Amino acid sequence: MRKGETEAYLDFAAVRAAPLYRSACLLASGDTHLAEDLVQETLGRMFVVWGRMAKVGNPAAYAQTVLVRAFLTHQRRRSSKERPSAVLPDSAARGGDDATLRVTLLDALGRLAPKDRAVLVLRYWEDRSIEETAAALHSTPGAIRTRTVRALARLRADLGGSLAELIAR
Amino acid sequence: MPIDPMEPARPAEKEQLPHTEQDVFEDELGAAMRRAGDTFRPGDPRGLVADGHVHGRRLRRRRNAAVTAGVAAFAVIGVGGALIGGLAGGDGSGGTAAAPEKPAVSAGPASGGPSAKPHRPVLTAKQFTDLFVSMLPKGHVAKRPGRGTDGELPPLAEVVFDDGKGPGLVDALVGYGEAAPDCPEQDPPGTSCTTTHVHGGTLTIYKGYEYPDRREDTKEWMATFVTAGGATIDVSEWNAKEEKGAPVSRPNPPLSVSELRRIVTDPRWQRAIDALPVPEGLNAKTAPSTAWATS
Repeated sequence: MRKGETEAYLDFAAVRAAPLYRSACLLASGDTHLAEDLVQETLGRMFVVWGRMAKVGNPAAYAQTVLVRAFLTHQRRRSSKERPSAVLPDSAARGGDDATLRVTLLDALGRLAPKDRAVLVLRYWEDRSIEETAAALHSTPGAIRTRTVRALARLRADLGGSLAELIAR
Repeated sequence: MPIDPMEPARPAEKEQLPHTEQDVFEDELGAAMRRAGDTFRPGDPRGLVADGHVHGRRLRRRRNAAVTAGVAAFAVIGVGGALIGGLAGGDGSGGTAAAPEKPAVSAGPASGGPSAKPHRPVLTAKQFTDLFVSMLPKGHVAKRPGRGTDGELPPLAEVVFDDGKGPGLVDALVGYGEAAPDCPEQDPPGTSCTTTHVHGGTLTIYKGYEYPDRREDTKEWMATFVTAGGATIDVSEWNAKEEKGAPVSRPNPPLSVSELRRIVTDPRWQRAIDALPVPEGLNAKTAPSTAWATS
């Protein structure tokens, strides 16, 4: 990679690190250490392909996809154990209601299968369509639709009406 | 390059569904995710970028090594006329590590567009490996296939070095066009990164783990020296015979930090640098041997 490309990459990484981190925190159900690892992995992989980024119309969206795939790869490798979810760093102590919402939501997300979580994050956090979610996860629209319905049902059963109450606060 | 790094993720088109309880829940979930997600702030954003950059460099090194392993396997097939078991499957260090990635020939530092002619004749893979081995301290060295200065990818030397306390993989890459990696403001636990300016260039020493999540105890230590002339020397080492898939053979990689520093700034690398084409954009007058390592 030439120097100018490296600088462009570093600019990109500086802008996208925080959004990637937020997505990673949701995927990792609040495990901020894992989230940092996932962002590092994602930015690392973006560096590797940066020379070919001219062919990718939207590197920001591409990076989000890389992040989700890195998360799923990580989950496959570590299938048995995950660090405690919904870890509350200091910043969480600031807003009481948001902190409760966050713990409740992340706990519930953490009880879903990793791929279900990935689907919900792509669909409802990143606002991806069924087709885009399917492409990101190397799946089919039908499979994603089924998985979405199933994951939503589990989440609803888990959260009951608490989500509506929490976001109304 | 038509890239807009500020461009946000493309919003999906809204799907036309009847308004049901599920729709309401989907709306609530979206709102809850935004509220929860937006409360997360990275503690050290610059550190994340720096870590990602260092990790990317390491990933690319693996892929470069994988290309060499692949070439070595084909060479054996060619000579024997038949597949000789094992080589193509990845006894080679990088072959296993980087299998999912396609080799990106364009990523090599020496391949960045039209170039000035090298100052000196090429070094073969063997000569480049011998140059690296001559810089190592006393110990047993098992050489692996490398690359010379005559290919599109940067020259690579890879050996398993044993100082008597256990074998460790050590490799070296030389090329042009890399910016010196930034160290994070705060090192992640168990890692360290230092940058100093020596011999008119920039030296970065990184001590970390093969896997960011440390699921295995394999450590990687890496020294990168960007010379005043714009050339880059990378030396990496592990406390195992392979980057991945081999048991840890010693507590730390075999070369100490001072040895890494000495090797990566060794003036004899200039012989390899002079054999590389100077990428366009670098002033060739600043690149020759007099620009570096006079001590």
